[in-house]
Amino acid sequence: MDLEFFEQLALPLFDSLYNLAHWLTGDRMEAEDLVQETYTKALRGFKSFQEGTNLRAWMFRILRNTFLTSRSGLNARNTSWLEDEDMDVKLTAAHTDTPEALLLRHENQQTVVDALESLPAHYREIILLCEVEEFSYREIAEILSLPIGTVMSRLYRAKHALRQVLRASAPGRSQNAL
Amino acid sequence: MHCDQDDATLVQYLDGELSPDQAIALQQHIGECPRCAAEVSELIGLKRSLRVARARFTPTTEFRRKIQQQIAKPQHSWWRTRFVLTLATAAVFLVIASVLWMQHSHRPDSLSEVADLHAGALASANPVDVVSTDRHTVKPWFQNKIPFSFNIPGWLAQSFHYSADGSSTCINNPAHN
Repeated sequence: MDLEFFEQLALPLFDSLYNLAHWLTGDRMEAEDLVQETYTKALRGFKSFQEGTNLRAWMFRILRNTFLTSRSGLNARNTSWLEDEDMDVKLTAAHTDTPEALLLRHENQQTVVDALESLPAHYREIILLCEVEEFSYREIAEILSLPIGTVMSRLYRAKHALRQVLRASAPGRSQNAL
Repeated sequence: MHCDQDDATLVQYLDGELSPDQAIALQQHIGECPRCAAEVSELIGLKRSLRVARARFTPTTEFRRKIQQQIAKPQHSWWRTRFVLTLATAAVFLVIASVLWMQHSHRPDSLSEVADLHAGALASANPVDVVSTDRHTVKPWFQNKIPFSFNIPGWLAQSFHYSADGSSTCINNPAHN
């Protein structure tokens, strides 16, 4: 594919890439470095890019792989990048608890942000790819280099973990028996 | 009411990952099962609450400009490379065309020059004129080299000199001088 299309195709992804980069790194400078390196790598590899391939997923995959080799990415992997099965998440449905309903009622957006930031990096990224970027499971599997079955299970566990964190942070939880 | 519906399937349902048939069947089940309806309601709430994560972080104008320049720069280089290559190709073609044209245009001149020399030689009184810029003595080449002799014209059997003055060649035969 001709390089003259790169700017036209890749530049509109800039804001989304930066948003995810900042979510992953938690730091503006690191996010900028990550995005810049992503564009550098994409530009270098664009000549071999096959027309018809999902460019958006391809760019996010580069971003994610670059993050994994970055300082913050390595730290995240060393501290909390564990297998899904190792996570201490109780996967039982809590039908009596409605933290999300409480959250909506109080419009406490900061609580959601804090809850998302408190999640392990691999849970946070899969939730962001699914809910914020609205990638399909197949695209997420491509970006994360995972089997689609693992994407399904990890996403379910990630959402469940987020609900637990939200439930724990909901005010008056013990009194109201959420 | 007992329900053994997998919660992960409910997540996939809301993410639009089930086939149309599966989605219709699950939708029907949700309408009849309070437990699944409550679960779906919570998951929808979670989905809505996560909208806050969209565009949560926005890049600075300075960084945006930096990336734009980073992307644009190689393109300009690419166009410059293409321009230089085109120019170089045109130059090569021009040189080849010039050489061919010169060869083609010189050929009639050479032919006419040969024809003029030939006509000059036929018209000359001395048909054995030798074109040279050196002054030296020319002797019959066969003298003392063959065991027989020819009945050759008198002027040819004698040694004679010729000189070249640069613009024209003339023979100075001592016998005639």
